[in-house]
Amino acid sequence: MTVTRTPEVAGDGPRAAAPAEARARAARVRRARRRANRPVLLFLAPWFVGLFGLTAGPIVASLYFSFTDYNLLGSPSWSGLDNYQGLFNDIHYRNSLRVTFIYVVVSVPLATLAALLVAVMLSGKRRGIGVYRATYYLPSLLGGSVAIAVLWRQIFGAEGLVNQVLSLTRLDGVVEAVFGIEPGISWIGNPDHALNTLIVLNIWQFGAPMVIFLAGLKQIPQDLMESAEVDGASRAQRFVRVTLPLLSPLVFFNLVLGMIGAFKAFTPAYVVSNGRGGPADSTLFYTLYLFATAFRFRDMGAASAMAWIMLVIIAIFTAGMFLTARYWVYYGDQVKLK
Amino acid sequence: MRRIRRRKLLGGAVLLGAGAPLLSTLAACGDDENGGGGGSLRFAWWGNPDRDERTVNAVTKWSEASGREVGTEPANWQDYWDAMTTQLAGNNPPDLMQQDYQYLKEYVNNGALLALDDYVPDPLATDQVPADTIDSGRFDGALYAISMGYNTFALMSNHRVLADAGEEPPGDDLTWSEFFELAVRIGENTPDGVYGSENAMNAMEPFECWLRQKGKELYTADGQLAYDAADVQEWFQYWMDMIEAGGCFTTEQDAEGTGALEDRGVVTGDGAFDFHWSNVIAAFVDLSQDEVGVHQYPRGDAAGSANGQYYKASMYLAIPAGSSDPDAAADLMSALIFDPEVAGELGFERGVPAAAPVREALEPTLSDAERISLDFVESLDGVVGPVPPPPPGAHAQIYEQFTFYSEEAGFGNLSVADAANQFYDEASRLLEA
Repeated sequence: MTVTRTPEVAGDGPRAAAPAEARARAARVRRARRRANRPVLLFLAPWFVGLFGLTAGPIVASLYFSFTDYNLLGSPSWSGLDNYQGLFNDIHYRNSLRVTFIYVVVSVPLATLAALLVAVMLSGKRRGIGVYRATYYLPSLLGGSVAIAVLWRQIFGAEGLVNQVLSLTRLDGVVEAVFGIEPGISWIGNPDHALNTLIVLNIWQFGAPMVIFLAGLKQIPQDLMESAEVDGASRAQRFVRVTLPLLSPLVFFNLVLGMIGAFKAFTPAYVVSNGRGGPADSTLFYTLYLFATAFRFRDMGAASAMAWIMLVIIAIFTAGMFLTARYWVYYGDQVKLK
Repeated sequence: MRRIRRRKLLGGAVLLGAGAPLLSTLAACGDDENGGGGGSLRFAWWGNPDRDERTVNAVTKWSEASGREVGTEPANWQDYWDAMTTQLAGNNPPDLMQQDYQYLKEYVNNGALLALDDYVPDPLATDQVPADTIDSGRFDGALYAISMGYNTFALMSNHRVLADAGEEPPGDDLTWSEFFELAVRIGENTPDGVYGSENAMNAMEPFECWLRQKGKELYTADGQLAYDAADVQEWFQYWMDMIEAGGCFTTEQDAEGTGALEDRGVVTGDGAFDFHWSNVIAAFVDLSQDEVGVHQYPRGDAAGSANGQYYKASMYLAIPAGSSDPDAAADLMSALIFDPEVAGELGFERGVPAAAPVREALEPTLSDAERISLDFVESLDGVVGPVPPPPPGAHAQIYEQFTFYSEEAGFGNLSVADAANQFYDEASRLLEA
C-alpha cells in the first residue's frame, strides 16, 4: 500500500502549479484503481455484513445494555454504573469468578500437557497409527453434548463407575486414608469435588491441541535430532533441548487458546449441573451465571456488564501471557547476539 | 517476517476468541424459522413426557377439526422459561403459551401478553369456569390468561416402602413432628439407601405450606417478604435434624439427583414420601412399580392448626402480544380449555379441569390414578385456605437463593442460623432492587 500511494503524495505538493494534464492523469489513475477495487469490495461485502450486523452491532449494543436496567420484556432504562456495582456485592458473582479462575488455572496447563504427551507418543510411524490418533481425538467431539451429562453421572455418581472400581479393587480404603474421602461419595453431588470432575472432562478433551502438536512434531528438522544424537544427547535430553524449544510457539498457542476457551466454558457445567451450577455454586462457571442472570433472572443489564468484565479479564490474562512469552517461547528466526 | 506473521495470527485468533463471550449475550436472540401468518401455529408449554403426549394428542384433534397445523414446543420447566424470555426478546414468541401464576404479573406488566377480552365470550366461553378462577388471570380489569385447571399440594407415598418398614399409610392429620418420627423409623427399618422422605429443605413449596399453617405467607400483597429469618432457620433446622437422624436423603444425594420424576425416591422405591403437586399424582402412579398414595402435607403441631393448602390455578394459557395469528390462537386456547373433545385428551394431568363440562365429560372415563387425583382435590373442597397474592418478579431468583443457602447449610459451609439470616438479607435485597 505504501508503495502505491507514493505518486499521489508526491503530486500533492506542487498541485497548484502542476499542469492540468498531470492532474487529469492522477484522477484517471485513481478512478482506475477504484474500478479495480470494486469486485474486491463486492466479494468482501458478505463478510462486512457479518462483521457489522452480527458482531460489531451486538457488541456495541451489549456495552449500552450494561449501563441500563433491562429485563428483556420491557425496554432498557439508563442506570449508570449500578450493574457493575451490584455485581461486586453479589456473592454468586464472586463464587463464579473463583470457580472459573480455578478451572482455567488448573485445567488448561494439564490439558495442554496431556495433549503434548499423547502427541509425542503418537508421532512415530506405526501400523494403524491413524486409528489411534482418531481414537484419542474422539473425546473432544463429545464434550459439549448432553450425552456427557448422563455419562458423568454414570461415572462420578454415588453408585458410579469410579466408586465401583474403587470398591472392587479395595482402593476406597486407601483413598480414605490418603485423601480423607469417604467411600461411596457422590463426586458430582459434593461441592468439594464437583468442579474436579469438570476439570477431568476438560483434560480428557485434548484432541484439538494434540493435532496441532502432531503437526509441529513433524516439522522438527531431523538433522537437528541426528546431530544431537551424534553429540551423545540422550532421548530425554533431545526432548528437553531440541523438541520442546522448537515446539514452544505451539505450546504458547495452545495455552492461549485453551485459556480463552476455558474462560468461556459453558456446556459442561450446564449439562452436568442441570443448568444450576450447583451444588452450592461449586460448578457455577462465569458464563453459566451470565446466562442465568440474562435469561432466568431476566437481568440483561447485569449480564451485559458481566460479559464486558469477562472481556477485560481475558484481555488482561492474554496480555500477561504475551509478556511472559519472550522469556520462554523460541521462534526459529530469533538470533541471539552475544 | 515469519515472526510477525505468527504474532499477527495469534493476535487475530485471540481477538476472535475474546469477542465471542460478548456475542453470547445476544446470539440467542435470532431464530426466525417458524414465523409467518397462514402457516402453522406455534404452541409452547412446559411439561413431562406424560403431559407432552396428552397435549400433542389434544392439539392433533384440534388440527384435524380446524385444518390448521400446529407446531408443538414442549420443554421442561427451567428450559421453558429460558426459551420464552429469549423468544420474546427476539420478537419471535409462540402463538400460544402456557403461563404460571408466578410469572403472569411480570409478563402482563411488561406488555408481553395480549388482552383476551375481545375473545370473550366467543370463542372463550369463560362462564363455564368459576368466576374467581377467571379473576386470577385478570390484571387492572383486563383478562390476560385463563387457567386450564387447579391443583394443590400433595404428599406422595410409596406403600411398598411403608409396608417394608412395617408402617401404615398415615392419615391427613399427620403433624410435622409425627412426620419426622415416621420418616426416621422408615429410614431405620429399611435397607441402606432407602429413606423415609425426600429432602425438601431447599424446596419453597412445602416451606410456603408450612408458613401458611403458621398464619404467614411467602409474600405480602405488595410483594414484600411475609415471614422472618427465624422461620427460615426453623425450617432449615427441621431438615438438618432429619438428615442427621437418617430420615431423609442427604444434601449430597439430593444434589446428585436431576429432580426429574423418574429419579425421585417414591418412584424408584428408595423413598417413602415426596412433596409434590396433586396434578402429578397420575404421573407418579404410572412411573412407579409400587402402589402410590396421596395425602395432605403434614400440618402444624398446635391444635386446630390450618392445613396450609390452597387451590392453585395451575396452568394458564395466554397469547403473547407478538402472536402472528391471535384469532387462531384463541380458537386453539378455547378448545384446550372448554371443548370436552379436545380438553378431554389432557385428562387431569394439568390439574382438575377448570371447565365444568370438561370435568363432567371426563368423570365416567377416569382411570384409577385420575380417580385418586380427583378425589383428593375434591376432598379438600371447603377446607382449603385463600389463594396467596401473586409472587413478585424476583421470586425465581429468591428461590435460587433459598436452594443455595440450604445447600450451604446442608454441606456445613455455613451454620443454619447464618444460612437463614444471609438468605433473608439476600431475599430482602432482591425485593428492593
